[in-house]
Amino acid sequence: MSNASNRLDGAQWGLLIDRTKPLTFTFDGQLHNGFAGDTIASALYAEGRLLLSRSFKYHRPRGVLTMAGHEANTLVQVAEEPNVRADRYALSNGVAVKSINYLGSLDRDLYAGMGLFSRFLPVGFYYKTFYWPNGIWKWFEKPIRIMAGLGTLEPTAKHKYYDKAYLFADVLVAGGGQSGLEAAIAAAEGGADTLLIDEWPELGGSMLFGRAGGSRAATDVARHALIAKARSLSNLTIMSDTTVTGLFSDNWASAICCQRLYKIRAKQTIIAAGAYDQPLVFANNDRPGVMFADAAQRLMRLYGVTPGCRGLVVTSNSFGYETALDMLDAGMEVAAVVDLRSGEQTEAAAAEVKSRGVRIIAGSTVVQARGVHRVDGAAVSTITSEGQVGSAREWIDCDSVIMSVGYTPALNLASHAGAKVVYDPAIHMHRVTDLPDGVQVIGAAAGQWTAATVTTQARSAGANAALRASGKTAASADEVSSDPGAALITHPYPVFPVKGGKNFIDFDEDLQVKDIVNSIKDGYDDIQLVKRYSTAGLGPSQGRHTNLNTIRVVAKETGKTLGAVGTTTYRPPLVPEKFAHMAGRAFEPVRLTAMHHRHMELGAQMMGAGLWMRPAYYGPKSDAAAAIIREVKAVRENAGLIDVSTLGGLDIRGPDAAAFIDRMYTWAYEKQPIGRARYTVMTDISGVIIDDGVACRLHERHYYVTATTSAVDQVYRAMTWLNTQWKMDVDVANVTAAYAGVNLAGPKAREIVQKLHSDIDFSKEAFPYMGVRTGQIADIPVRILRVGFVGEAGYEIHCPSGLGEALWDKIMAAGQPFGIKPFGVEAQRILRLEKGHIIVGQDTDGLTHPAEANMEWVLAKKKPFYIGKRSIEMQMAKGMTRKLVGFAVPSLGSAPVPKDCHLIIRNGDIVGRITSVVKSPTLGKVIGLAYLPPDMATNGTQFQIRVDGGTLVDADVVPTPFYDPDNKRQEL
Amino acid sequence: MIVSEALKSLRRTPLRRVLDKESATWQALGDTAIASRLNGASGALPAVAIADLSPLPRIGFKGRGTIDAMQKRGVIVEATPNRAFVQPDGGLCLVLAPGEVILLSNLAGDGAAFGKMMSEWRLEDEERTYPLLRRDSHAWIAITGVRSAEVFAKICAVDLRPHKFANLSIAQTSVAKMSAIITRADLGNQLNYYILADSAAAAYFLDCLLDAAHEFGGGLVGWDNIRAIS
Repeated sequence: MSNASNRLDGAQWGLLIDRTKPLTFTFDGQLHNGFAGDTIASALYAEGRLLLSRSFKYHRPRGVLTMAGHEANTLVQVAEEPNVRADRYALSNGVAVKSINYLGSLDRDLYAGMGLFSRFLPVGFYYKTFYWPNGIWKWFEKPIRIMAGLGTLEPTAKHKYYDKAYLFADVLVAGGGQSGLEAAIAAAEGGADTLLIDEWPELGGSMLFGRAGGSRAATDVARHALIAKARSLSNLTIMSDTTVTGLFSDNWASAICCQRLYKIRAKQTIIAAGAYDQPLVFANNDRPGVMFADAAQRLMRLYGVTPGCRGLVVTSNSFGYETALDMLDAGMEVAAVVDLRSGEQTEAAAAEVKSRGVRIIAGSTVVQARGVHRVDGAAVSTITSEGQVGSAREWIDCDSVIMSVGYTPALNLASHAGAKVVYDPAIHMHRVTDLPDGVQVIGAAAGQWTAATVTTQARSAGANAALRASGKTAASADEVSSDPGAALITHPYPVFPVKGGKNFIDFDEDLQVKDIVNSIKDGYDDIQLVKRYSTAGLGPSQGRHTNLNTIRVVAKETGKTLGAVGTTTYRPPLVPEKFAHMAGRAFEPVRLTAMHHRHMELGAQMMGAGLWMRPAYYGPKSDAAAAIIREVKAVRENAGLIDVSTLGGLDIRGPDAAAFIDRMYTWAYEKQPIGRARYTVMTDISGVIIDDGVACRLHERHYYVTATTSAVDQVYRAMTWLNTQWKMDVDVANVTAAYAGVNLAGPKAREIVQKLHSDIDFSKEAFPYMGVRTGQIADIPVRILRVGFVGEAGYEIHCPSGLGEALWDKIMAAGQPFGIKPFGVEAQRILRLEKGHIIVGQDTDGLTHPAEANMEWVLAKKKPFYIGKRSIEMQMAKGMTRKLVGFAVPSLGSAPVPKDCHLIIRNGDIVGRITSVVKSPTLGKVIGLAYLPPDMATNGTQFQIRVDGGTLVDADVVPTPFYDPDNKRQEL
Repeated sequence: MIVSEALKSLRRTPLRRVLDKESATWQALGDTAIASRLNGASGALPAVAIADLSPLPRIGFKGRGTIDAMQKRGVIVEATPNRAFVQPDGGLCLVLAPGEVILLSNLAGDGAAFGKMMSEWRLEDEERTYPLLRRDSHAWIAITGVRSAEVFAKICAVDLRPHKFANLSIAQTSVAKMSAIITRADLGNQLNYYILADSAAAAYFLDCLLDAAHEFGGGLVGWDNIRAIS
């Protein structure tokens, strides 16, 4: 042993640490030393700092229990990261670690007095205290919230980079101990693309510290041989320091490594997760220095740290004796080995311990520990019957109590996948049944404890998995033969709740045996209810060290067998996952038009439109209102250019193109002339308006149909779906991204396009309103639609998107002498409203049928079918309950301008709502569209709008369009 | 600022601004310009090299008569979906479905045949195949290098490892939440994938690729680098 600390010298100690790389770190501001490869807990233990945390409820001092990150005792805060497991967190130089959950200091926690009030904090106190007398809760809530919780969230913490990745394998092996290695090797040798995942930095599981077959040296040789074999197989991928956290349907597994969540798809999964140590329940069994034998061995073998100077081992199996031998080899004094079993044990390890002069106390158990911040002695009593001991106690001085009284198999992953967990009285442990297809459990998790049987079963499992992954039938069944050695591992009832201190059955939640007993007395005698009422197993360790003893106590108190008591359910994740792991690297697609960078150069304020970014207006945000008005005026007086590339585009081609369009849209298209555009409305089968646009007939067998930005994908899906059913001779292609588009609008639009070199005649006679032409402008191939959404003469010009920026540049340059301005979506909304055009989705809702929106004119009466025709006819026969009307506010007075969705009030009742409203820069008054009852929908009817603040504003129903009602301007 | 003559072309890659930030050297290529080199680099490729090939010619055809129509035009192709066919000039014909193909030019950018196909196509011929502007609808990005599959594993749920995803295989899938067509098209012995993805989302898509490639030392390269491999 080193002089300055609890460090052990020698190559056999400290497998994971690099003594040539010393590190320094702070714990609660105090400087500490460690080595690369240390965990926070191992480095602190090496320097004699056993006290790591305070318990959740009673604020009792706590230290390491598992050295495997399996419990809450070692939770600390590292910088801004709360709930770090100190016994698994790899130390780095300069890291600042803080302890948590105390008032004052960790060593002198003022909350520690809570233990004195434990009689006032009985099981279920959450449910039955603080609620009477009435109103008392608000007085309790604040202090409880202050005291509750572990660690501190730092809202200003810097974002870290977390991401996700997929992994694929024929065979996934979860767990890299002896069985996992054997299975992975067999699977790989069987030709399977195999992935072996292990949570530790080094492969080997318990072979890293144990004495399989009684020899540490032989175990180490065997481990190295297995690893060498595994690494020699090119089709075996090994991932260390990675934890499989969940196993879901169809062999979908999740795993975490550092800041990455892996999503694994495997054809076959083999679970080799081992088993969890189970605690001995006795008074003060939570004192720092009381730990599992595996923890003591990990401290010594992995980190080169001795658990103490004089240890007391309490056991019911060979592992306790093997640990005692390790302690002796490490130079520790072993005060005694207390064996819960009666008589002399014949195990080789027991014999060797005895031969080395260690006292063995058979048929006895530790019943009480002494000491506060570290155990300094333990009382031993003779076991008289199940859970009972004699009154005599022998106190033995010691600075550590090492427990090995049994295990429970790590069946969490199997349970996640849907397997059942049952109790096997022959081995006093649970085992798994009803495994789903493609999942096998091996090793200690499957109740296999003898090295030879572990190897046989694991290799068989690996070979079978490889065969099944390749589509072949396995050579043998997966039945797991029972291992007689398993019966020697776990004590049937290691629970001795004698007086002398708190005896914890759940360390996370500070639950004692009496809490479980009282839960049953309170009427919660089902294991599921016990769990929820007492909170047993609800802490960070997820019941690893709680469930089995809780089941034992419940069985004893209810007179049931353990099998009849059943188990609670293991749920993912197996170890804590951060929200950041689940969020990962966010993928938020953004679509940019071909002219996007021109908009940015012009100072556009961009807005989202589905995945697209569109210019809302051009200019600083502080000048938004004025900028929008300037853009409106430019269009009304000169010319404006808006990017409409986000509009959907669909090419419908083939002999049945016209018939297909006729079925999809409400109007008539079969006789539509080539070179003409026609307005389209699409309804669903219930007759509700779902989209609008224009259908341009470019050829007898070719329509170019536009759709709204947000609806084009659903329109395309509907068309392809229906085309598949109808089997028409037509092809539907979504060409939205293939075409960029601009709308050049305003009284000077024609002059501008005529300035550009083109093979198209833009004269009014040759290219009238609602005409469509294809050709070239400035050497750019285009499709041009003469449409009037904004109420002015306009040309909607579409070109291949790769040429979109050039098209924008050409038109802007040509328009400069005419005062052209780019305009955005906000100005377009005003312009279209002045013209009385609706926007589907804004002026319609999920129930609007065409008649309600004044669109009877777009319903073809003579054609036999279009999607929604029958529903619309039924609705129209039934009669309307509302109608979309135009309105104007003659005088606003001091009232605020109405807004979208403001309500229409009649006699105090809501009778309608506004869908669009604006103070028109062109008309100088407030205009809008609103749904009104039919009896109020006639022109000239006055109604009232309830605006912000509750004021009722008078408005009149007026005809639309508000602007240019004779359509002379758009048809210029 | 000196504006390259090549940049005066009307047709522009959707990734032009991104490549400009990488000090792209633009080279005229038919009716457009392509970033031939970035940051003046011409040395060794990064472990994962990503290049914008969007300026290269390509065209699509869709319709129930597509395979026959392509074979009639001398394209080497079979009605085997999700398979790419190498053409005599080094170009590729990607079969997306029994009635849909995309033709990619060779890396030199010879696109005359596509122009001819387009200009000679007539609806009246009733071939039941219809051309699509895939050069405009889809950006074309090459990702090459031994660790390319690991890059995909971070953004795509399909197993694209070389021993599972054979050369000339195609996956039509979601990459970084966007639809994409991934084709494995090795350059000599070098593992190489082509990605065709929504041209409007090309900047987003490239950002995701570069982000995923970062841990492998991946980065952008020019057209010259890719051609040098082949």
